[in-house]
This record gives sequence, structure tokens and C-alpha cells, in this order.
Amino acid sequence: MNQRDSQIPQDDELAARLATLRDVTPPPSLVPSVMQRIAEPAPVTLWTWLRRPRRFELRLSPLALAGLAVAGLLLVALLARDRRSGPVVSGRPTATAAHEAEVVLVRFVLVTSGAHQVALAGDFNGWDPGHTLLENADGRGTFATNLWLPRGAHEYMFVVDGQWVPDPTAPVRIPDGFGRTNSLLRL
Amino acid sequence: MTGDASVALPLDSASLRSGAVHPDEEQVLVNRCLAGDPEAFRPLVQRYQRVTFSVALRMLGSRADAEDVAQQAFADAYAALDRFHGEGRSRAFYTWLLRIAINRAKDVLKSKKRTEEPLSAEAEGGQAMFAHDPGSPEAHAGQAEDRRRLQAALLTLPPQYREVLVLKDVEGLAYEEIGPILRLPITTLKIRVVRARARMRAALEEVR
Repeated sequence: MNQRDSQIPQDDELAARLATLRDVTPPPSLVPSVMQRIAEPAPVTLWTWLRRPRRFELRLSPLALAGLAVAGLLLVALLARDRRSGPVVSGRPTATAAHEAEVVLVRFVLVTSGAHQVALAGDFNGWDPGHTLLENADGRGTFATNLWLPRGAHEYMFVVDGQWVPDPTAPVRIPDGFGRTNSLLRL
Repeated sequence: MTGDASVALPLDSASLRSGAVHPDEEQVLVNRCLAGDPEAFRPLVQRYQRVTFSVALRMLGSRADAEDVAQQAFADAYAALDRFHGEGRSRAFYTWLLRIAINRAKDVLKSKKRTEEPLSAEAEGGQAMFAHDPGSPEAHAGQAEDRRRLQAALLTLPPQYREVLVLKDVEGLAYEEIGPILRLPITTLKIRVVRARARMRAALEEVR
């Protein structure tokens, strides 16, 4: 019998003793306090103020409208040229339009030296760090993977050897409400 | 009257532990909250008040702090409901709420840098319970003393060991449920539980 086997009965006994601590009665005031708290209007923070929808009116002359349309077309052409210009070297995910705008192929890349395993967790895979592993594409710490994602906003983080880290090159990071930040990708 | 309004939730802990709760019921309540009906949150608070309070109490050792943390966890969850995606997963809301509660409890531990404290409020609760039970007072006194020692030993452990013991052994969660709560791979989690139990056994030797 090895040491691990000899610990199993001790572990079972300790677990059974600890389970007795489960027998706890919460204070009667807990439910009413929570319900009163959520009924109060939430304080307006900078984040909630920024997220609040607003209505605004924009009046443009036909000439200005035509100018904006031309500028928009030029911008699209410029972006399309940049997309063809070379491989991805940053960690920022890059998107390739497909399936007539329903889903988008996204390449997630993280350059990190010394890491053994890099995973991707986000709202698209249930935040499961074991679901989507990145491949060490060049064997020198450039971890990458491609995913088809539906259009919309997606929050995600990398998991580097078990440690949750935001994408260092994500254009937007937002608080997750629990003291940490997630990376945000808009497609 | 819509079908949503007729949702009834079992509140007993046995059904929770068995996983018998249908996740769609909770998603219906969440959707009603998001549609502007805060009363739809009440069944969720009633259902999970015990486990939320229990986890906070075992992490912090103080009933007052545990009540504050439990309240804050529910308020945080309510404010972030638009970001909850159960997607039909069993006990999704339960594990999501516990993640919030654990993080809140750790915030309190960091801010106060707590050291070992006697669990006076818990001991009082235990004595009150015995006062209504005339049978075998010696046995009850022994159980209460064991619970006091367990809690005192638990409070001497570093938070990363304390939290895995609270979730695994006190609340009886599966590794697959604890992983997302603590954001740890299952293998790391299992190793941590083994180490935590070893530290706990050593701590129990010290606590008298």
C-alpha cells in the first residue's frame, strides 16, 4: 500500500467531518435585505452611464451625405488591403468574413514564451478552459487557433498554464463585475 | 397570465444536491428579472441563500461578514444577470453565484488580512439548537466541539486551500463544478484538494 492509498480513509473521514459544517441556517434577514437592495435604483457609475442608450438626431445635407459615403467606401477598401498585407503577428484576433456575415472565422494568437499550454475560454465555449487549446504554431511560443464565431460581441480570456490572463492586445477590455477584466471582441 | 409566471421552484437542499432542478426554470426567472420584474429574483435568493451564506461563513468565520458577503453576492449577480448564460447547463446559476460569493469573500480576506478568530456567533447558534433537543446532550456537545475545531482549523489555512475544502468537502460539489468557479483545471484542483486535506489534518492537530 503506498502513501496515497493509506491517506484515502483519512480523506474520507475528514471529508465527512467537514460535511457537518454544511448544516448552517442563514439569518432570516438575508432574503428581505437582498430584495430591498435590488429594488433600490442602482447608482450611476461611469460604466453604466457610458452603456446607457441615447437618442440623438443628425441632419446632413445631400452633399455631406455623399461625402460620407465616399469616405466610407475608401475606408473599407483600405481595410481590405490591410487584411491581405501579411500574417498576424500580434495577439489580437483577426476576422475573416464568411457564410454571408452569419459567422466569422477568427484567429486568436498569443505570443508568450515559456508557456506549456495556452487555452481560450469565453462566452462562446462556456468559459471552459479545457475546451479550446491553442497550438504552439512555431514551437517558439506563438500559440494560435482559428474559430468560427457568430457575429456579435464576445468576451474571452486566455488561460496560460492555468492562469487566466486577458488578451494583452485586445482593443477593448471590460470589467466582468467581479473585480477582473475580460477581453472584448466585436464581430 | 404567461407561462413564466407559474414557475415553481423546489427549495430543498436535497433536490439541489441531486441536480434535479431544471436549468430552464432558472433561466425563465432570470429572463423575467431582465424584463424588469425584480420579484422573480426572490425564488433564486430563497433557494441559494443557505449555500451562499454557508460558503461565506466558512471562508470568513464571522456570521456578520458572511451575511454582508452573501448580500453583496446576490446584488452583484442581479446587476450582472444580463451576462449570465446558463445555456441549459445543470446548476449553471448555482456555480455562477458561488463564483461571485467566493470572490467577494476573498476580497474581504484581502482587505482585512484576517487572522485566526474564535467563531463566537456560530457557537451561540449551536447552543441554541441544543436547548431545544433534550436527547443525548453529551453527543451534541461533542459534535459542537468538533465543528468548532474544524472551523478554527479551516481559518488557519491559506485561502486557496480553504476555498477548495469549503466547496469540495463542506458543500460536496463535484470537481467539474468547482473548476469553473475557481477557474482551475481539474488536475490542478485535485492536487490542491489533496494538499488542502493534508494541511487541514495538520491544523487540526494544532487546534484544541
